[in-house]
Amino acid sequence: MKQTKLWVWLLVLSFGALVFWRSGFCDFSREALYPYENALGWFERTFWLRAQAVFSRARQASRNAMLERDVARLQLVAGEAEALEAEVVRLRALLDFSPPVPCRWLAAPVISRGGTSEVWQRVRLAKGSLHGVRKGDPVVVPEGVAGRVIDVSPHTSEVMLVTDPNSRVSCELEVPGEGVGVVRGILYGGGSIPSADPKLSLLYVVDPLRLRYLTREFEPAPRTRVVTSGLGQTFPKGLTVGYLLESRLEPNGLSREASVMPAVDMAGLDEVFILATGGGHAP
Amino acid sequence: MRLDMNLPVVAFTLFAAALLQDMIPATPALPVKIGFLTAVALYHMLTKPVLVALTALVWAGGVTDALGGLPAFCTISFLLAAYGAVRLLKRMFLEATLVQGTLLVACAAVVQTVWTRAWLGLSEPASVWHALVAAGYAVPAGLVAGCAGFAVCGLIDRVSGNKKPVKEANGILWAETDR
Repeated sequence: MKQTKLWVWLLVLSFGALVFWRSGFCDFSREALYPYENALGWFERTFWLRAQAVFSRARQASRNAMLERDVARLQLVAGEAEALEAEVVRLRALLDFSPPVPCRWLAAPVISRGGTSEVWQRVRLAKGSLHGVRKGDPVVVPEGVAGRVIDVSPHTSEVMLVTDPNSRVSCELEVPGEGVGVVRGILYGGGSIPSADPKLSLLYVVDPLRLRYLTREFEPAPRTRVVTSGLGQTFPKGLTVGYLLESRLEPNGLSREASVMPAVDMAGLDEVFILATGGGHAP
Repeated sequence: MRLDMNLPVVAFTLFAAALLQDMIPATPALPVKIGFLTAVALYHMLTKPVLVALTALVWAGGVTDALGGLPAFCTISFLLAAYGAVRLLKRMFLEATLVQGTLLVACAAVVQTVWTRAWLGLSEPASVWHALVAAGYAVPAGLVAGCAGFAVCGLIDRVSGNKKPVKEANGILWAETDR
């Protein structure tokens, strides 16, 4: 009888938690799995990569030499960037512009891809609100934009990739052409392109993204770089999102729509950078 | 009060299933998630009393929805419907054997894939096509999940003492006949 009471109470409490404490339940689930998922990543970084390094000394030496050359080159670039930054700050002060939002780069390992369902294009990172991550923070890798943070728990954050069908990013074409001006549009995620003749394709392969509401007068060349416009307030201006494949007029003839190949290989994401507006460690 | 061993078994198996399902990514060879949580929930539905089975399915569904970014009660409602079907099939022929369990999970994985897409309202032609392709891939994923889920849960149930060896008509355990 006591056992029955226990199970009835458990059932009632579980239902109660799901109905009245949904967001807390989501955070609790992620936090419960976090130590184990993070431990696997830590093991890989600490032991597995070192073990691999032992067997590839020669390759490491040549890679080190290459990286040292890169560091020297980047130091020169950083010096120029500092001078430019000082100039920008001075000109901003002269023009009475509002100062840019202070933010920090925060490296974060990927601990889960897609969660327990493959419906959405999401990844989970091992950095959360305790590290200064906030909802809406952009997530990037050296190749370009990966996505943005849509949910945060103390140690983890959920990232919606730009390839998710629900993703929208304000973008523009880089250097569209002589006398064309700025060509802006809204980048829609892939995964749900209506088609009268759907073809068999692996779900794992990402559909091209769609850049919509481009001006109809200008036909952009294939392989044009698509960058963030900075108008959506989420992503800073000028980050690479992808490369244009082809463009065509929309059925209503009012604007142009283009297919865009993402710049980032979403399946290969292991470590990303969060542009944390709420603090974080200095780069 | 003596602890009901079903509680730690349910909690441990669901936790392990959630961890595996969350960590194992979709790959080009198998571009869907392997539904370990559904497999464990179905095992408990087949082998446990009503209250234990209901608690297990609520936890399994809740965690699937929470970690998968799905709307609340999407998976729980599917598992409740599955529980009704399982109880009906149990009266006719269904038993908690490894083979039947594996086939049951494979069928459930296909229905769950379509159910989830329908719940999300993805009704565009390409989305319907994607749902059908995903349902096709759900068969091997379900077979893997069912085989692993039923084998491991059965083992844990035996180790924890929830499942007793079958007695013969004379009252001697099969396990004792070899001694």
